[in-house]
Amino acid sequence: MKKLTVDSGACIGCHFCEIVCSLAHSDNEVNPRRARIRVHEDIFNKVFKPVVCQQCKKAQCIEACEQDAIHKDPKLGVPVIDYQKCTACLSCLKACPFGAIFYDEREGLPLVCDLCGGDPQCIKFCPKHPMKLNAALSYA
Amino acid sequence: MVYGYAGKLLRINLTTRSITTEMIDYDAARLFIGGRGYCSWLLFNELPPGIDPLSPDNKVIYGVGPLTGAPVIGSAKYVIVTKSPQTGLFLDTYAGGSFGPELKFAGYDFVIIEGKAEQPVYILIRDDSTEIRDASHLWGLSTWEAETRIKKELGDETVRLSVIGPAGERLSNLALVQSDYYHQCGRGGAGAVLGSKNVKGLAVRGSQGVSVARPQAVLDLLSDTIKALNNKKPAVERMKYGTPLTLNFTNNFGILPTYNFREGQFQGASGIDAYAVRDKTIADGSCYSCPMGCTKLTQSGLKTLAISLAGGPEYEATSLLGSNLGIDSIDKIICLNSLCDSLGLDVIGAGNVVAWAMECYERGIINKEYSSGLDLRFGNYEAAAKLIEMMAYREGIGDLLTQGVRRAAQVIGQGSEEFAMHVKGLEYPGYRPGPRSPGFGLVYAITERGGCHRRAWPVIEEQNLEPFTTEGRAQMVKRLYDQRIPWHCAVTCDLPILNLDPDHDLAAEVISAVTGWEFSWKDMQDLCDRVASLLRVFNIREGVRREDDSLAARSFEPDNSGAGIGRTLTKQMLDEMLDEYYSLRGWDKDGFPTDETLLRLCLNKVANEVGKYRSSPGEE
Repeated sequence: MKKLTVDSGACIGCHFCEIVCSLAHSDNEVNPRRARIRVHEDIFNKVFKPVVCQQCKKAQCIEACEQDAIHKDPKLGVPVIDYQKCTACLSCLKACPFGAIFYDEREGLPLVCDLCGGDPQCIKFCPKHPMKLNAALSYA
Repeated sequence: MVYGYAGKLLRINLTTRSITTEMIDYDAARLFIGGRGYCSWLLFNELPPGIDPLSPDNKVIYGVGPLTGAPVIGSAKYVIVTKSPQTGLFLDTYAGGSFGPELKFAGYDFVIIEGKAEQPVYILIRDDSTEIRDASHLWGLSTWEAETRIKKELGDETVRLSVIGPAGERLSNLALVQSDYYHQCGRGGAGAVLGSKNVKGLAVRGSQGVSVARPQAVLDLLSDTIKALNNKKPAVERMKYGTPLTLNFTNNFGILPTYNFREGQFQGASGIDAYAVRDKTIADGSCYSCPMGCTKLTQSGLKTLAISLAGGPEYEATSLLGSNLGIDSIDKIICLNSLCDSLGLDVIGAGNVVAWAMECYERGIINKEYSSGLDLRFGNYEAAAKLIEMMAYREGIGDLLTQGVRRAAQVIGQGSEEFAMHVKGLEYPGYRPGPRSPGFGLVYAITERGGCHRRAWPVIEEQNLEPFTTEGRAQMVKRLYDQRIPWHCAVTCDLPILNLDPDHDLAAEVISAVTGWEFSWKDMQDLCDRVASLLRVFNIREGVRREDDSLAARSFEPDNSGAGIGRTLTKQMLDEMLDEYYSLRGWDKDGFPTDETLLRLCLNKVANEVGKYRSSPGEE
């Protein structure tokens, strides 16, 4: 199974991943606060850390959900949230050890990476800076 | 629906503490796009001529544009437009980071700050909620401390800030406004205007997005741009080394400011060049929506300051705090840069003033008693550092120097005006105009905010023109100046895109794809002419005339270094270039836009206004 991996040391903090992710999940809106990948940053020290679903084998978000609203996509290995069942209790968000379930500030709902159905858009725009060995995001 | 815009303007009157939201004027947006253009239009309409820039009558306008926050290269910037306390004229000053997009995400294209608060305040904008909050506990803090404290007290690391330091609080003409720790609206004293209103800064956090009309077209353009940059050697070099690369070039060319612009080449250049900066770089950082990573976070090897980090030094710091002061150590430059940023002083202005004071000292115009005991010889880092602190806190001689080099030279006199390097009161940046670079002279002379390199940058292109003549300069300067205007209005950073030498077709394509309005090459050219003429009339209203479009006296002396040695940039050459430039702009010999030009550009109201200032034929 392919995995979206992060090399934080290669991240330069451009936020392209958030920009492209939010646009890919909407008709025409860029909104980093609705992205399913987020760059945590210490901007004083210029330290950047993209955070995204780690496709855990034993997913704590799924276990924490009392509504049985989350199941794992068997092909992609990411959790899928059924918003019909979701009550926005956000226990999945609290349970994720990586902080990789995010809060949609507009809808008040949890958000998680869906790998764009197997063709993650974020990696297409993640730049490889010439002072770094690789781009921060890869999918293999 | 018009895409790209938030659609709202926030107006904050600090005197009455009223906070109101207005819809933006889409007819004006079509003509001026946003950012530099739209904010200038607002300032022109709302600011009566002749007001004191540091009085409650002045306004500070924060602006973004339709591209800000969108998936477009460099869509990170915001602009502050105000009347400059340093020049008394129009000022636009920009910073990157993430503050600009955040303002858009909070739902605003523009914020107008008016009046004056009774006590220190900061302004917190969170989507539809805006508060004027007490900042008495923040007053006196460095820019960096202020950012950190506000984030802490709000319990939100993701809030974005735009703050002033002690220099701004004390109304220094060199006071900057800083965002995200390392991004500065450096020039012209915007920090003092905020300080005069008792505003420590703005804190912004938004949860709304920006909608684009044709997402796929915008993404395709973004992808093409990134690819093109990666295939362009100068762009890749820029990613590696940032702006300090310029020093290697200007030194060879003989236009590197050295010893207060007395010389154009520096013996110690190799110790302060791009490779020296790279050697001290501990992290590369990008602004929002940009792959360049040209912010080089550096750590000085000197332990003289509590914090000796700098976001840079950029080329302007290596030249004006380095060669121009006779300082050949990158460690020392990083410390001086760090001091300026944390105290809230513009490195270009501060570097100029310190260099001027050093020259005064070496010539015996200023003695040790007057310099508060400082041994102001060129190369004396400790004295420079102390002087920068004194300027920020207005102590001793710092009280005068912090008003900028024009004012300082007026007060000290004794011929020091001859080597006070400024145009219209704004100090020269890191390029020495001279016989080999008359085009740069024209840029400084015509730029509305004064001596500035950020509206047109002819360094490379001028090499290809016939040396020691004015041939082709006016056309070149107009083309380069106009190349940037759409991006400054849109608002994006011009640095990445300029690597691709963009024409108006590209600007029109990107702005159309984001907004859904259809713009053509001609629309972009009209935009450029419209903005240039509007700003010209703004400045005419404030008293600018042809004779103000000039240079520091030193720039007309015979050159003593580099490619122009023994030659002179004469006043006659500048006059020739001005004649030609004015004519290309549709302005008359006095530099007044003609009625025909203004009417063609839909500036009818401006045409009515400018007539009042034309001298009638009988008058002379």
